Amino acid sequence: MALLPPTMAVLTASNSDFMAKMAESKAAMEDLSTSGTSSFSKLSSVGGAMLAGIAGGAVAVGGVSLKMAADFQEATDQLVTGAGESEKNIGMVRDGILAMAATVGQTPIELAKGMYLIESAGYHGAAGLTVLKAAAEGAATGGAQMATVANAVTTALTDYHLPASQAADVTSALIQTVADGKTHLQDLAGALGKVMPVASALGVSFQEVTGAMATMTNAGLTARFAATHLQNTLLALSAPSATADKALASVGLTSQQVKDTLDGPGGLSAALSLIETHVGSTFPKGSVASVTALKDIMGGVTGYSTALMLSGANAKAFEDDQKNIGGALDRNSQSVQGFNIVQKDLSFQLKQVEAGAEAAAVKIGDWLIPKVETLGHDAADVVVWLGHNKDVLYGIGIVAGTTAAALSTIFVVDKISGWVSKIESAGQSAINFGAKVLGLDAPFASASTAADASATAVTGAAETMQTSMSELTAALEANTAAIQASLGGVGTSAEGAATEFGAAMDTMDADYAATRAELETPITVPPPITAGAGAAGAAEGAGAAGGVGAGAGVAEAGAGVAEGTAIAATAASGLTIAAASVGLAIGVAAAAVIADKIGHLTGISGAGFQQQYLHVAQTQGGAAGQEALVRLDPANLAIIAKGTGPNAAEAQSLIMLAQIHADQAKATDIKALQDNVKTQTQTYGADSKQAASARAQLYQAEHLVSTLGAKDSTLQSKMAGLEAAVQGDQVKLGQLNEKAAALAKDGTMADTKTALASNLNVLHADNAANASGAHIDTGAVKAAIAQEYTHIDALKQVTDEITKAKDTEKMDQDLLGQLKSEQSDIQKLHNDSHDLVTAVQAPRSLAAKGGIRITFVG
Amino acid sequence: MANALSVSVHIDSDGFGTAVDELVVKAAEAAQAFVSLGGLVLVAAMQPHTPVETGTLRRSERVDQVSMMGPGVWQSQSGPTVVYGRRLDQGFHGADSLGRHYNQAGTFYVEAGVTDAQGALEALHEKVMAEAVSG
Repeated sequence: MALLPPTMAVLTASNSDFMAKMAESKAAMEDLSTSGTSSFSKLSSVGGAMLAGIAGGAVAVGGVSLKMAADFQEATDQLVTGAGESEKNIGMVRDGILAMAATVGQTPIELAKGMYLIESAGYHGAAGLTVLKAAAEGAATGGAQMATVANAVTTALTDYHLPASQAADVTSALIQTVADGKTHLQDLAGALGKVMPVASALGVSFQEVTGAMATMTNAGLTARFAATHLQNTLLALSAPSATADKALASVGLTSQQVKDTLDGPGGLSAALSLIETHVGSTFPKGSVASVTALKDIMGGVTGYSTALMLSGANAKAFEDDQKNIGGALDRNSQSVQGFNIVQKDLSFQLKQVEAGAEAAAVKIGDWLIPKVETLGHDAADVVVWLGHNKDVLYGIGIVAGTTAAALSTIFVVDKISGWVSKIESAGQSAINFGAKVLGLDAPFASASTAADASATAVTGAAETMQTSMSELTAALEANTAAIQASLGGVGTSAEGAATEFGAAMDTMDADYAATRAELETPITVPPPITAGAGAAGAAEGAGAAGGVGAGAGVAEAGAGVAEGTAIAATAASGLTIAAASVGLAIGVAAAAVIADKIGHLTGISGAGFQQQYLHVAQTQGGAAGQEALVRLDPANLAIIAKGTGPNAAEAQSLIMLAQIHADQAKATDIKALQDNVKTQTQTYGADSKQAASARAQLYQAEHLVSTLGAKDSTLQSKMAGLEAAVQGDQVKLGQLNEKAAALAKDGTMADTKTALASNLNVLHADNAANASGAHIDTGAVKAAIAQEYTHIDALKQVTDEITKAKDTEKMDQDLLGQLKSEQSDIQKLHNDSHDLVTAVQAPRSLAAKGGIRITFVG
Repeated sequence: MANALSVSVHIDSDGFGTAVDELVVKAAEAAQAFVSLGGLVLVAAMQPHTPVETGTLRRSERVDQVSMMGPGVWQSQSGPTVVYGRRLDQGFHGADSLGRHYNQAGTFYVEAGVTDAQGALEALHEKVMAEAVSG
């Protein structure tokens, strides 16, 4: 038996909007495929080999490189405009920074920012680079920010008037301070500026200040408070107050004795020892007098606490700290202490690779900037566009010539990842918006909106790609002539342009090779996985035979079969190919490095790095294995977790952690949805109860209307009868009045009675005459009397009838009045009930729904 | 030039379209599964609130009319099947066919079941759809 509406719950799940949007997405992607392929085929034929080389290789790389180079140029320009570097030396400084980046693991931009502080402190040119190198190594060793360490090192160098050549030792001393104390280099660097200027001016040595900082932070003070306390103590001992003088005198000392000791070879330790000894010999140990004297001598509470932290039982620790720091300061090394250890860490090696790749990119960009600048306004627009849309360039997989396989491996992986991500995103959105909607019809609108939003994620991506491709195609076509003209301006023919292009790229090749060498020297690169190793080896061999050294770079960076094949193909074509092709190969090599770097920076690791992380995570424990582990994609993490390697348990933990995070996020979403649904349900529940109440009210109102209507009908019937009766009464009364009037014509009651009395008197007189013997004829009189009696009776009868008729009419009129009054009351009730019915009309529509309706739209 | 430089564009629109199609089919299947299972959840939730004298009303509650309403749109109905189920749920005010007058309050046991089932339905929908699109 079918369910009886409306008491039922209707559950609906709708994917129709989602399906429609998916269809649009699919159509958009098909359009993209068609238009994209035809556009680029056209471009290939129009632009020719040279243009294709530029479009596919240099431009793709240049889009990134130009941005990096421009940023670096801007940062280093500030060294001249704001930090005192000479224009003559800025080129050398730039070269020095770029050369240094891979070694110290800091990007060119980070180094430029640090250099700004160093130059501002007065260290320019080569001296500045020396300080910069020390600060960068210190940042890596101490785990601090580059700019902060540069600030601390220059503070120490300036305050103690040390040459730049001691920058490495000063940095080592700061790191030793951190090692001996209980603070971070970041905090120490920020605090030193508070105490070092005073300490240096008072003749307190670098190692005494930093040693005191180490000991005091070990005692529990923060670096900032330790610096403040130490500064107060030094000032109090150097320029004691009157109270301090009095206290010194009370223990047999003078302020000059203390100052001399402070300036002497024993320094701060000796001065504190002197004071402690005299106080101890004057007052009982621990007495109030002893504490008061020491507090007064030290200039107050902070000085007193400083003395306690650096003397007595703590004096030995203070002395050891000074000794350790002094040892670091006297190393006379060009490298920061501990930097050689940091260099062995995989995480630092990765930073070196990133920094080196970015430096190489800056060099490529430096080469491209003047070329691009000559292209004029339109070309500048292209460059800006490329800068903003480099991901699109990579995403659509623009690849050139023999390098197609090399780059497509990377780019296609990225592209697929992007699509999968978008599809998953759309699916998740479908879940979310479906779960959001529960209740009445109204939320359908929001469901539709949610569907639009989710599906648009896919449609929008496809459309953006299509638009971007069209713009790229148009821009490149429009600027083909400009590019060729630019190249033609360097040489007078296509061959000349190619030669110039190739020569410039040869220079870049040399730069790249040098940078690459720098990268390779300090780095222990984990071996590529077996599958890629053979191809990579082949590629290296082929590349070396052909003299294309950059091929090895690609193979190592990507370590994939495709890359190896590509380089082998390049090498097979030999060096006899045009210089442009050599440049292109170099560009592609750099592109592979940069693509991996970009992938790493944006969380989409390149295949090569992922393979290396996987290898390291499978085979190595310790920090290297841990570092590789956290950089692995989730899929590769699962491989480690299922294995028996040193990091299997850790990988399982990471997977569980990720799952927990995902569950927590999902729980949060569900909670929000539950709250939403609960709110809607409560609203609907209230509406439903209101509907029930409305139904009851409506029933009562309608029942009342019905009852009143019946009453009114009866009353109206009665009233009609009464009104008819009244009319009858009035007619009858009229007739009686007419009858009375007619009788009155024969004599009124009074006239008749007068006549009757007169006739009776005649009869009485007759009777008296008869008694006296007279005789009167009374016949006529008697007849008149009889007629008069009859007339009187008639008048009485009519009068009685009139009186009765009037009473009847009055009664009928009174009753009619009552009925009219009752009818008025009924009318009023009727009106009231009508208002009640009207009042419940709105909820009546709700009541009419009758049942529960649940709708899920998904 | 000897080296065959060219420009290639790699767009796997077929793969994308196939993935979209599969996603749509799975989502539709999930919708059907959801309304079927969700109907059972509703029945289970409304039963504790159903007035019981003989148990007939409670036993009559079931899922019915699981049907496709359109492309990707599925619907089910859950509730009592005996004729007086509606009167007990919504109440009855007025005269019946025999002229007897009633002013009987509703128990709203269907609505109470719906209220109780909200959380379970959400979780079910989440689970079913998630399995469909991520499986």
